Amino acid sequence: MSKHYDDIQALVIGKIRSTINEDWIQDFEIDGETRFNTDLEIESIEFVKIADAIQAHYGTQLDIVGWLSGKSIHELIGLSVGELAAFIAGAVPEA
Amino acid sequence: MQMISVNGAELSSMELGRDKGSAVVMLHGLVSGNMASWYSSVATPLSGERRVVLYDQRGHGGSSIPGSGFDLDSQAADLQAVIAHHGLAGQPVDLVGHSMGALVALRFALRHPHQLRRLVLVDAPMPARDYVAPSLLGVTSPAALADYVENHLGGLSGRRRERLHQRLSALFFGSTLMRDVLEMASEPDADLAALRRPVLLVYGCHSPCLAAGLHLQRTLPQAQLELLDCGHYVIEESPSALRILVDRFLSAGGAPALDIAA
Repeated sequence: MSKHYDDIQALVIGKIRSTINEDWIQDFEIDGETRFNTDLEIESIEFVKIADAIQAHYGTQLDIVGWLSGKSIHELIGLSVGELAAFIAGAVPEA
Repeated sequence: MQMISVNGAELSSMELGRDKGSAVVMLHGLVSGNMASWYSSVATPLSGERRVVLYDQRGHGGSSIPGSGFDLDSQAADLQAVIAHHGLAGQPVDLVGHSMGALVALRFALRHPHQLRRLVLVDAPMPARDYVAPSLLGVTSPAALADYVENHLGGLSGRRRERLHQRLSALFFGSTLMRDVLEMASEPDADLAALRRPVLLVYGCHSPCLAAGLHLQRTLPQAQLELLDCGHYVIEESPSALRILVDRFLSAGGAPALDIAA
């Protein structure tokens, strides 16, 4: 995987920890294989907060319509951290 | 994500597609709803061409769970505060609501028609005391609440089930929610007949609330009714068809001429 992708995955993991902000998540081992649904058991509203924090980080660099649109919240929660990072990597220009 | 202080509660809100085009505020349904209901399947696609405001209604999502204020007038006042917070007071906005969110949007529209451009009511269960209250009435004990979570909000397990259970426990046993819903009557026909704004009614043809849609179509002067092949949970069951209907309605001919005096 490229540095571009690795940087984005690290950002996603950081936003997961800061958004959930509970003791257990700080120690939970999160990598590209970790799934929002089955591993983290996050709520739909928590996913929205994570996505919003990622969007706020990238601002206009990341076209929200391009990376999230049309997917149901259940589809999104069904993703792994790596799959979400790949969506973002495809939508954000490489530095 | 922003927090907005309203009467007795803190409401979580967000804006998509900021500074683009006309504004639309989207309201979710009761109990299992929150900003996530609309977020990815409808709100983000709509935000390509317009400004979309989402918020968690009191007692839902990231908003606080106050002990009272779940009646339609209080929730319409919450909506007004959200509109003002986002700098939209005094300019007509589009409102899109599902279920209880549709009833809040309709109440707001009737009280503040000058603030409304167009209205989309998705499976509005009017009156809620007939359509919504019966499913809540049996929840009078912790055991009944456990059954309710299982029967109405099945499929959740572990952490999410526990968190939802805590939220519902606070709403059912620590707030006036149930009493407020029991008092929600139909809007008077004369008030509905006086709402001279374009209204899109979207109902599931298998929804138990369909008769409410037919009544609203007959009574609202500028309403069109669209039926989708689904039940009450239209956003989850028919997201693509709903998105196309809402997008088309909110895009039709740009902003329609407003007959403010009417």
